[in-house]
Amino acid sequence: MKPVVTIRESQLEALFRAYIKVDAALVVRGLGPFYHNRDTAVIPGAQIAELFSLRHDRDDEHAPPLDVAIPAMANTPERFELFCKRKNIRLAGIVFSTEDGGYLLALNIVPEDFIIEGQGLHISDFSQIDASVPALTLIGMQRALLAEARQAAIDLANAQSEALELLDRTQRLGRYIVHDLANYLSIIRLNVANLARSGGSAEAGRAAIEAATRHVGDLVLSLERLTGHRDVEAAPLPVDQTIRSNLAFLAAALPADFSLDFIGSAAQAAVRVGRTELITMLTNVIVHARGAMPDGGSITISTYRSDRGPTDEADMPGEDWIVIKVIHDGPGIDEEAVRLMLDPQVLARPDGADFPLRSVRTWARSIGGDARITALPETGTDICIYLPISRDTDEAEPLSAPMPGIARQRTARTLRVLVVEDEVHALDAVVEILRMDGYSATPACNAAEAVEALANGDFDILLTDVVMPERSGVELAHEVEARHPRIGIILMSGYLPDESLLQPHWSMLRKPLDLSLLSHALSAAHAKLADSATA
Amino acid sequence: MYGMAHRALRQMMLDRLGPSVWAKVERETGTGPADLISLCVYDDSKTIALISASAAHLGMEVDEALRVFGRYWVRFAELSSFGPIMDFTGQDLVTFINNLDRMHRSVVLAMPDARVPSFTLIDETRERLLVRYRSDRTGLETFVIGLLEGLMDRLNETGTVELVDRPGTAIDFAIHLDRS
Ligand code: HEM
Repeated sequence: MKPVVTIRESQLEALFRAYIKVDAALVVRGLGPFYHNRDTAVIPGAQIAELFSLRHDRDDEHAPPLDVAIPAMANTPERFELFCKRKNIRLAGIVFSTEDGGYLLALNIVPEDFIIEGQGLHISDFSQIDASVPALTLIGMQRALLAEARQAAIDLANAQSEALELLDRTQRLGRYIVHDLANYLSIIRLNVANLARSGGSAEAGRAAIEAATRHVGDLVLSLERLTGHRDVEAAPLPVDQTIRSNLAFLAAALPADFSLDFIGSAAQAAVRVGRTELITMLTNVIVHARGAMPDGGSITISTYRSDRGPTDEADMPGEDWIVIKVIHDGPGIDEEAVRLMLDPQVLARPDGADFPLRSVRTWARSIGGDARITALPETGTDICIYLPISRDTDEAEPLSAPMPGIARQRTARTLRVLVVEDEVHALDAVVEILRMDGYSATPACNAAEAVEALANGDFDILLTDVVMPERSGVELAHEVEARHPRIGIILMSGYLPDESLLQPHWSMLRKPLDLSLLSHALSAAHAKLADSATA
Repeated sequence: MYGMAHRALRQMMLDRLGPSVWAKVERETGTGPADLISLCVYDDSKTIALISASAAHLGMEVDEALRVFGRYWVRFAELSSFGPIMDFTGQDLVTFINNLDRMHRSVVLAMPDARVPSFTLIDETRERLLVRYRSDRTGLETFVIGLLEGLMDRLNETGTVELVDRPGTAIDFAIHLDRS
């Protein structure tokens, strides 16, 4: 038969990457590039029948041996399939006879399946026109896209739960900030009212307002940060110095029968928080402690550095913490209360006694730390606030001047208080503060209005200014006590009135009002009422 | 350019500068998850915006950022779910470059709007490979240099890549291999 075309070795390689030339005795004489660097044992001199079998062998016992099949299939258009005995390789093609009496097995690789992985195949194992390359590549892409879609679904779920958590955290933080803002606002109002009165100390009032507005400004900054309104990076704040210089401010949150000590051992350690955040947080802890200690006592704040974080697990090496520990010797809270407090499922109520501590923990977590609260049976409560130490302390902010003493209140009772004050702004401020703190407060501008209010409703306490036109607060108090013997009486005055006019069981508050003393007087009046009710 | 490039860029920025900087890049360029689908083809202006915004954050010129990105891209591709296709393309530099066009041609069968480049090995000595790059895009020279450097990293070669000629619309790169 005359050859139709003559093809060169390089063309043969390009068309049939896995061709094999054998002689008449079926010994390998030449081979395509597919076998290079593959451990198939297909080398010149090898017996083809020892290397391969006919593909049918696997399921067809009657398939003829290769030395019969090859001559029989030579020069026919029939598909010829070989199965490698050594490796999981399948080859397919057709058989030609050659002029030297041998055969050309014009073969290409047939992928076992259409997944690239695990087959050790490369693009160059396939001839230029072999559709296996796009098939394998496209299936590879499809698998990659499926993996991507799966990952996208996971990312979406994560993003969703992150968003929900963020919303939750934002709402919680928002509530805390609103609560703190309201507190500072009431301090400002009260002092503005006091300033408006000529009797008060202008300097103390001014300083208090200034400090409170600074804190409000910082809280607004926190809000801006929270809402993403501004990218604010707090500069590292040296904790010990900050607490020390604000100790007077913190102590002002406590009535006189409390002592507050500070032992700072954290040296220059600084954290990335705003000054007001830190002070507001400590105020919250102290206010909580005060609530737990009705008879007064001592509160100690101490600081130290630690390489152990709030979790008991070993920390990342190099992670450094500052611990702010607040211990008080009051009766403390019991373990169940601590558990409830830390249970995220239990909703925090702004008027709940645990609100301050929850807000402390939320805040600590918002800056990468945490708070641990341990009830010490009999002896009190131990609160540890862990904050991550900022490494670059060099740029620490300069210290602020010490704060003037202003008290913050956070008591929660539903006493009904009738407030009598002729100075309208002062009246508003006191009523506002009492309402903030959970009291029910009714304003009256003079004695006549007060009497009218008493005729229309029940009150537990009469809180009245002394100096008023027409009828004085002392006169009013006598009259009210005569008609309502169970009511508690608290007088407010810029000067001390004639003691002979006062009843010994009445309370007397000096103006400008010290909020902690006001709260104390209200609690005492409440306690007295409760005692007389049970007596 | 296709979304896989955007994903790779995102990953590079996340590795280098963290999530908050990438969030800024996304904000600055109005990018969202819909711009990050691997086999979606996006307008080149999107890719350019992303790269220039990233370059600004990296403190680099765009060309320098493109080169760094090209080098990173290869590593990203091999670690991503496209790794098997990279393996399939070749395990040595010469084979890989010779197969790159076939791989690209196969890949874009499913992406009608993609415009893939062509790479031809036009000269090969033991220490120097001369690669001709043809593309209907311009300005990606440093990206290609980075990609070829990335391929050397991947295929255990060291050396340098240099733009040596611009015959017509093509660009020739020489890969000088440290082989002695
Ligand atoms: C799995 C691996 C890869 C896939 C799936 C892939 C896919 C693609 C696709 C789809 C495009 C077209 C983009 C468009 O027009 O929107 C493209 C472009 C490109 N690819 Fe690849 N590629 C891969 C690996 C590589 C590698 C290793 C190189 C290294 C040299 C490379 C070099 C390029 C270049 C330079 C372009 C730019 C387009 C241009 O110059 O016009 N690719 N690739």
